[in-house]
Amino acid sequence: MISMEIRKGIKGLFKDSSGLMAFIGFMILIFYIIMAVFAPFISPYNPTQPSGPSLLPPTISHIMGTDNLGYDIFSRLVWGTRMAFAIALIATAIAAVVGIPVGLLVGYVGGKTDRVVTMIMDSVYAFPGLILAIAIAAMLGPGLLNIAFSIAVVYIPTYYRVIRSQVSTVKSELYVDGARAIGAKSSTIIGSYVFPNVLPSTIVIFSMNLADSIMTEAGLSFLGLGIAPPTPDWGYDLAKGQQFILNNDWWMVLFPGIAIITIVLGFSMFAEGLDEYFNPNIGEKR
Amino acid sequence: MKTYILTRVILSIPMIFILLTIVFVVLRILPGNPVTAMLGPKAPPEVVKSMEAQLGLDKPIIIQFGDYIANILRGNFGDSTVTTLPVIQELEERFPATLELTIFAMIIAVTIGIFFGSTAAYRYGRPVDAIARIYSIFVYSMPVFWLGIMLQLIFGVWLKALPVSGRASPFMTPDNMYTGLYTIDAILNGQWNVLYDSLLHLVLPSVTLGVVISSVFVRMVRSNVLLSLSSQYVISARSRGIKESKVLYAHALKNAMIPILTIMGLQFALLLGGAVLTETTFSWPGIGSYLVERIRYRDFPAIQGAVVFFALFVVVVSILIDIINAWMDPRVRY
Repeated sequence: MISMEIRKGIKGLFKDSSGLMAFIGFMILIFYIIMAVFAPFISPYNPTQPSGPSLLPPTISHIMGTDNLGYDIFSRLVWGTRMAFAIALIATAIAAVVGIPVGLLVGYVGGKTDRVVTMIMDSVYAFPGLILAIAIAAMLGPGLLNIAFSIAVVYIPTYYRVIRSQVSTVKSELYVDGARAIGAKSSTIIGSYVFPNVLPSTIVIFSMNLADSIMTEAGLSFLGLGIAPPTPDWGYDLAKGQQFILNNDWWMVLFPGIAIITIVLGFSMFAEGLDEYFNPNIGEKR
Repeated sequence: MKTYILTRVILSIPMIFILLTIVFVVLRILPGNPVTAMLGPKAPPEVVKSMEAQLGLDKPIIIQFGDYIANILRGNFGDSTVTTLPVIQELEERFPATLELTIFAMIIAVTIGIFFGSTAAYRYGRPVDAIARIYSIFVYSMPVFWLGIMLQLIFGVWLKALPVSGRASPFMTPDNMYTGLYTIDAILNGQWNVLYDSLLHLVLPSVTLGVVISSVFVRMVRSNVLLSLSSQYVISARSRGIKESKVLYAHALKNAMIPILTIMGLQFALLLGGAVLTETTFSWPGIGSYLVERIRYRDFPAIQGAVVFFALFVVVVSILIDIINAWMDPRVRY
């Protein structure tokens, strides 16, 4: 998982200053959230209407230049933030809604069910994620929900693995035995004793997966499997920009790329900080 | 060792079965029928019917699944609806390109990882160490295709030093193909200009993919070498007055290699995902760009074939890595 690696890298870098790291991540995210929410006010032009001459290098009136159709790149970048957040949030939410309950249940039940489900989840996990997402996206066709679903499938095992392994530790804790001894139903035990104890990790994975989803979505739309044009989308804009690099029109590829890198960094740093905050001790184990 | 290899291969059979089932579920059971995907939603019903019959999609789902598994076991991936050639033949033609790209990318990633990672560990807490860590964070949050495009811009457009697409210049392919890997075949044929040309074409794609993957290696090598640098055998090697460079490379690094090798196997799936994007960015004629191309033509047998192929490729590589691991470290063998 991409963000897992970034998280570990960042962790080493900041060592004991996880607060600072979470703060920087948080500021980056706030920056992009403001951009997404206030896109109509921030973007100087309509992102899907020509606003000047085509292939204009960055100037005062078009600070990031224009593309081949005369669309303002900065306006597309601002509106693209919405698409990035929307798809990443929906995808991660779907993955969480499937992965968490399955992980809880299977981890709690254990035994043969555990072995079978874990084997299936591990196989999905071993499958090259992007290729799986490509196959699903190709079958489902374009559309926001379809793209989000293709990405979600790839990340279900991430939730499952973490939740299951935590549940299998938590379920042998004394307080769970205690609950069982006073005759609590399994559903009560899972809901009121096990779940609250694994909740912090799910929040961390959620934030991590947002970073991964943004990367995957950019990849899919770069390959032409994303949202239908001319909806502003960073990956699509990069693919279009690539067609013009032989003319040295660098502004079409530089800016969307920087946007992807910084937003991914923001989510990863934020996730890392959260992890430190929620799990000061167990962070290393994962 | 023989028993180990045999057990490892047998153990991967359920994994292969599950992977094939996943592909089947994705391509046949998910909403989005391959025939409507191929013909578009407005196709007349009788055309859809005959297409379904041609692809065997009118049979019950269980029978379809049986046919699918049986065909894959026989190496029959169906015929492409675009070229009408057997998909397996097209995959065979494209595979060497992907293999060549991934091998070179892996070499680059491992080289960067070993040198950067072990230097960072050796100079723990110093500027080199900080640079190594910043490098791995930034490189990892970079979309591989973006890095590719930027390198094309810098080395292809501004410096005009390197080719930005394809595997070879026109008429610069090896005369006789033995392996399908242009570099190896050029050496076997003694065509040095062809070798030079294919290496030039390999530089940008393999550096792109290699650099993006390298961040994991830098981090892994660094932490493993750090661990072995603080071990007893390094202390004893130092106390015997062995040269520092030898302590680092021959003692610390060598022992850190085994976990690194395992990580290499795990990173392979990521590498293949990156290869699809890299091949598309550089018009590299491998299986990744084949998959993307055929998705545009809605060539269902080709899409299925390429995806199955990637799944099997991952399994084979993970078996190979485990075998190498067992060969290097006798403790792994059962």
